[in-house]
Amino acid sequence: MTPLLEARDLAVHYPAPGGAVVRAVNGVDLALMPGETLGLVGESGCGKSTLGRAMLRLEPPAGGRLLAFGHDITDARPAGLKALRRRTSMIFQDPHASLDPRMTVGESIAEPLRVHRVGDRAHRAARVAELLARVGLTPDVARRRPHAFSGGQLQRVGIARALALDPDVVVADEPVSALDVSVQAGVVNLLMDLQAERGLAYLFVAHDLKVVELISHRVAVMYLGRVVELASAERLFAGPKHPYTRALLAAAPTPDPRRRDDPPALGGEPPSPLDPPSGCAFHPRCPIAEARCRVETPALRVDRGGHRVACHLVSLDEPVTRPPARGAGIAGVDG
Amino acid sequence: MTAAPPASAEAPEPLLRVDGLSIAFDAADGPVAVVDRARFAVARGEAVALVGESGCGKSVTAKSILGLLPSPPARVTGGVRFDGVELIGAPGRVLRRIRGARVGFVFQDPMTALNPVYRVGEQIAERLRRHAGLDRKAAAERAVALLGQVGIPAPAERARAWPHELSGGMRQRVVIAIALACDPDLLIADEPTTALDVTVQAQIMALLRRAQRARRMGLLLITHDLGLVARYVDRVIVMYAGQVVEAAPVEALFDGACHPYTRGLLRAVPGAAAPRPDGRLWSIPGAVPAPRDFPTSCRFADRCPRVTPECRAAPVAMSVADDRRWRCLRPHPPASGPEVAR
Ligand SMILES: Nc1ncnc2c1ncn2[C@@H]1O[C@H](COP(=O)(O)OP(=O)(O)OP(=O)(O)O)[C@@H](O)[C@H]1O
Ligand SMILES: Nc1ncnc2c1ncn2[C@@H]1O[C@H](COP(=O)(O)OP(=O)(O)OP(=O)(O)O)[C@@H](O)[C@H]1O
Ligand code: SF4
Ligand code: SF4
Ligand SMILES: [Mg+2]
Ligand SMILES: [Mg+2]
Repeated sequence: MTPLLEARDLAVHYPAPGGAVVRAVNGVDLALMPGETLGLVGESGCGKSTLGRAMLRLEPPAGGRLLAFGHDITDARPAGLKALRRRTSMIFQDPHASLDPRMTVGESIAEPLRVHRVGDRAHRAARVAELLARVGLTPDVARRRPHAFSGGQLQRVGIARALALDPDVVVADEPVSALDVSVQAGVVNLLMDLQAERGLAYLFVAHDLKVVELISHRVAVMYLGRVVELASAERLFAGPKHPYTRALLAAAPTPDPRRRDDPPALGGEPPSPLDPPSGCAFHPRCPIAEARCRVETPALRVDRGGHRVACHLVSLDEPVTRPPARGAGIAGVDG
Repeated sequence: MTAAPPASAEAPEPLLRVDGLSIAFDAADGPVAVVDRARFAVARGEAVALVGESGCGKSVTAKSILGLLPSPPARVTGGVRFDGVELIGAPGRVLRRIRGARVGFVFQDPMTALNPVYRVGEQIAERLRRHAGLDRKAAAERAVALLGQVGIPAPAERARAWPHELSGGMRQRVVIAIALACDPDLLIADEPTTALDVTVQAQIMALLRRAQRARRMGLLLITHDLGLVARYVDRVIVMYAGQVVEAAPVEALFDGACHPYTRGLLRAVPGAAAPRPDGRLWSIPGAVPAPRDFPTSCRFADRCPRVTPECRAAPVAMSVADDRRWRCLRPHPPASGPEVAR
């Protein structure tokens, strides 16, 4: 099967003060397959949004290749990106910043239809009403401007807009984190229903690990611009292998007011992409780091079950074990 | 003996007391009431969560406390006392002083809270110069220290970044650093950790908890994350369609919520209840009515699994027992466990 989107050794850089560069995405191989949900998790600032935007060529690649529907689009000009723009869309992390404050939300939702000349005015208005209903908003809100919406209402407008062109691929950057849990449940169910009906594929960035576990077929874990672990959702959540992933899963709060101790915090300083640590970028915070970790960058290796991990010390074919109970002195989390 | 009890026996005045707070917005066809006589309090050192359906009025409630809703179109009535001072109708000068120095505020949307044309370090330093009286150099140094405390890597370099150069979670932490800059007595934090991964979230919450213990800072936390609520707050206020519908200590609420809406909310937490047979999440069927269509009777009636004709007959008053309140004619018995009635 040809991937819908594929990054090969992809890099994205930003300029920083003093002529330095931020290597926000630093050599990522990632393929999004038709009909799948690929979850993307990782520490704040590790490059998830940048990677998501870069997969849609909304950021120029600084290195590596980018393929869409089997075609190399790394250097494509805007005309060559037409199919990509028509068949993909993005739900942005910050709906306030992504919707034009001067347009009514109905105009914003209809904009992709207008740009791609889909239907006439009446058809577009009907489509806007239908999309608003699907995300749980009433059609009359179409006449309002973004400032009169709550955060969660605006996020649903962003989702409606992303679905306007019936895309094959949606890059969803924190699509549900602004929503209360019952509306979130409705939106997650909607995304899953659309996938079941129409075979939509999602690159799904989120911090809520339970939501990621539920919605994703595969999950990629990023740390400082690289993918450090990639596996099916079952394998990843049942047996995380990378020390960073283990720390991440251990820190998730449980809805139980009798567990009020501070969760085990990830020790050490978050790394700076302006001055990344040598070797394995996780070594200054890793409890099992050895001398070689400071020098050699671990490559992604794969085990028989397709579980990929970038760590020198993880033995690939060790039996999958459940992670120890939260707070029970998990390697790497007591600092 | 008919003498009133001595003043010292009365409960001390809480740090923040919101009483009968109502908010309406002017619209072309007349004002729309979005918050209806909200009442709650936050004591020194206490953490209180405000939760509820998206659009139910949490953010406008928080903003109105500090006079941050532009009026018109907003009309705010009722009482908000902070440390004994009435804030509704207080002069702008008083509000500005309290906002800068005594009450920290983290907005839901970090990008609009930051000024795009100033470097982030300057924005923190400005607050310190104006409200804590630090000189330029001391303020700049403290700004870098604060960025470090909220877990921004390479804080000295990042202090020179523009807001758009930071990731969503970094911006959110800058806003938290500004809010904590002057060691506030009360922090009002609207979704302060939504853009943060769970390890950074834990770090921020630990920072807030330290401020609460060391300086008895009060915290009003608006959040959708019920895991966070369970772990960090003392009491929970649940809002639905502009009204407080339940208020309870956190353990009591998670052990058995009284209001059917709260029950539905808790069941929708991914992983909290047994999944639906089709693998989907439990949600609450239907949608909140638009503020213009709020019924005068129970506002949850159209979505409630326990609805009876009386629920639609007249306004539902708040019931009070011990340290709990609920607005429902057929509440679940408090400790009947987390199962939701069909
Ligand atoms: N326009 C920009 N200019 C300069 N640096 C940038 C820009 N956008 C992002 N960065 C930097 O790139 C890195 C990755 O940012 P990105 O937004 O992709 O992170 P993220 O994983 O999405 O984080 P979060 O979970 O906080 O949203 C960060 O160090 C950020 O400061
Ligand atoms: N400036 C405004 N003009 C008119 N209506 C407004 C305005 N600001 C907010 N509203 C309305 O007030 C209600 C409450 O909004 P608020 O932002 O407080 O919701 P919220 O509970 O914070 O929701 P969320 O969880 O999605 O952030 C909503 O119905 C919203 O549409
Ligand atoms: S390579 Fe070394 S430092 Fe990196 S995660 Fe593995 S053990 Fe830790
Ligand atoms: S008053 Fe009636 S309709 Fe309203 S929440 Fe209670 S049982 Fe349900
Ligand atoms: Mg992001
Ligand atoms: Mg809000």
